Amino acid sequence: MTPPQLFNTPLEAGVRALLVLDAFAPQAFDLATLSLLDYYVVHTGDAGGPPSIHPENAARAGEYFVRRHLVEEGLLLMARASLVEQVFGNDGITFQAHETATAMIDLFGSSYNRRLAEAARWLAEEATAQGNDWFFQKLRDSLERWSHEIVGGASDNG
Amino acid sequence: MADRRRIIIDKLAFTGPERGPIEVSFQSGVNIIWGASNSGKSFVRKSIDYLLGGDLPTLPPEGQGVDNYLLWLTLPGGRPVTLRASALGGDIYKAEGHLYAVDQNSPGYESFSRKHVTSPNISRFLLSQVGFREALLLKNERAEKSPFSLRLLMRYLLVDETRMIDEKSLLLAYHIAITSEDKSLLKFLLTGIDGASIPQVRSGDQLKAAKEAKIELLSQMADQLRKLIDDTVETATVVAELTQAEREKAELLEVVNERQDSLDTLSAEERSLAADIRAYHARIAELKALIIRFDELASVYASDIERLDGLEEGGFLLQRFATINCPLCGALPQHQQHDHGLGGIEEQRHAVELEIDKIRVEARDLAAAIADAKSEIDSVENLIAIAEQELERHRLARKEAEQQEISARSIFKSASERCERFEVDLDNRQRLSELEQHVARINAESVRSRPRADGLDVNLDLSTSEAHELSTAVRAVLTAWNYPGAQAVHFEKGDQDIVVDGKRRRDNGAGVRALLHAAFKVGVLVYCIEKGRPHPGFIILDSPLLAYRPAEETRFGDLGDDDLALRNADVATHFYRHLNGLSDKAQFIIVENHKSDQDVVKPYHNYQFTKNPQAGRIGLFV
Repeated sequence: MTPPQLFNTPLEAGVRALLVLDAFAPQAFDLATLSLLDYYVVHTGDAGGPPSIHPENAARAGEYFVRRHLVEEGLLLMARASLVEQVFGNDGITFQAHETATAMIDLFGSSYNRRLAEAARWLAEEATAQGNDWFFQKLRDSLERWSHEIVGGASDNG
Repeated sequence: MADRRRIIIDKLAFTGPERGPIEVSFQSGVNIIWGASNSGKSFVRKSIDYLLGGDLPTLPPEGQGVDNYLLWLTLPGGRPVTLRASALGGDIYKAEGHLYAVDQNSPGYESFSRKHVTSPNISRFLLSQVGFREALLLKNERAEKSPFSLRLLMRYLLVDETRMIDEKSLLLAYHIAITSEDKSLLKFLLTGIDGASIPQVRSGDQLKAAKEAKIELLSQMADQLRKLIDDTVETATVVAELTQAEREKAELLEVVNERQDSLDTLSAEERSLAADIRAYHARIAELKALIIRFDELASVYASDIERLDGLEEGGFLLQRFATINCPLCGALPQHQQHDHGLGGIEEQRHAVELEIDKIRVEARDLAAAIADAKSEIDSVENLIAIAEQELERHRLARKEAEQQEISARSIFKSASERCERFEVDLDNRQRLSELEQHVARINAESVRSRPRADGLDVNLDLSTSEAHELSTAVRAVLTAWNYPGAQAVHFEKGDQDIVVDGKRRRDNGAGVRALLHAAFKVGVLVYCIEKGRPHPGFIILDSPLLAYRPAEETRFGDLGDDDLALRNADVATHFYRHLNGLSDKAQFIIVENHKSDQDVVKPYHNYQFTKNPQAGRIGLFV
């Protein structure tokens, strides 16, 4: 129906990464963490949050494993527009929202983007409440579990 | 002819716990036992008879210590068997092989009854060996039957000295007058025809009792029927009522059929309506499933449009902010585009706008399709409502028709029952009149005091040609024996005996009577051999040559001219020569009660019991 080159583009991934980094600002995250959050920002329902923005089809967990490259392209696009900065430090390469990002995000009017921004905010609040490490580990674990189910294996978390 | 099925008697033996076997051996052809009287000659004959199922003979004093009789036989196919019987009587025991003792451990041991019964018996055993089938002989003129047995046949295999000269018919065993059994035995021997096909006739008293019993039974049956019949009603009235009832029944059957047809039609319509309704429901379910799928598609369209809106906005703002953040753009007032490393974002934004328009068109089409489906559902639901009303109307009509059909059927059933009652009544009347006629017929029948089976004599007497052939065989035997006047000998059906030159056998002297008797029995054997009829193939004759008795012996009447004529014709010599000529087909054991010339006897296998301790064998047991 819809040509795939419109969705799942670096632009789309970049906008999502921008929203996530802005919600978590001033924290900087590496590519792995950003890929994880890129999944959960459209699937908050899977993390025990508000209803997911994207439909909950059975193969959704597979998205996570193929998006890493796309997320990286999106971040680089945003970096070229000076909305995101790359930080080379002790944690390797991490990314951080530029202060101009908030101004741009404030201009978003479409309901889709507003909902994305809300979902990113919810993730940031949850991470603050539970502690980043703990919360991210939980998110990783549930993805693991789903990917097992997709492969057809039995759940090992009972 | 050498392969004829026959029995050869090889040896008669007597044994006792403290006596070695006493034996007399025999061979095929002629065997002669002769010598002094009271030396045991006839006891040989009696013992053989006993071992073949006959009566227990009285053992002479010299036979003290003997407790078993043995008979060695050779059956068809060269099969040797031994028969044993106790000196006290009882069953006959058989073993395979020639033995001096037969008991349960002997090979092929079997125990035989003396009588021709259903269990194993000596009669059936030996008769079946030589090819006789099971047959039924007529016993009397009422066609009672008895099985053909070795005991009956024995008169043709073994003739004692009394019967040899008896004036009564040759066909007899011990009776005084000829019975059907005697005739049918000869008929069966010569032709193989028995009395199995002739129905038995009951005696006068039996018939009278049977007649009364029949009338009694039929009258009882008639009385039973009379109880069921209303005799105040004429049969003609019943017939008329039945005709009327049958007409009504036929009319009612038409009504039943009509109502059944209309019921069938209604049921069929009802079924087709119900099928229509099911089809409508199926169509609605189909449409609803379609709408669900359409709705899903619409929500996909909606979310795609939202997502694309977000993209378009993101692309637009990204370009703006890239320009804002660009130190170059800030410094250059010219409205020139320069790439901020965002190549392709603009084209993408444009493509997204076009895509949104396309999806909006599709979403509109989809909305129209959903609306169509919904309105179709409405119209089908309308159809269902109409069909259900129709169905209800049909259901009521069918119920009505069912009721009508049931009532018509029950009326028809009672009409059928009425018809049946009349039919049964008429049937009873018919049977009653048949019974009454039957009783009248039986009453009119007279019972003969001595009923006979129809055509029995015709069936049992030898036919003219059979009698002629038998006569021919007997004449040939007598001719071979050099019997004077043999040409004029024939078997007379009327007398059931031999007639010589118009003179009955019984009107001859004892010597001639004996010889003619022997000739008849040998003639039957020769006839059977020539015609291929079964015959055991051995004959034991006690004193056939009575004509050679000493002149001073007046027991059988004086020697007559006819006796002398036999001697003059040297009948004895010819007699033995002829019999021995049959060696390969038959066996003869001749007891000579009188000294015929020693030279006549010598050429043949013979035993002389001398009664003289100085010469030869003194007697059987000595």
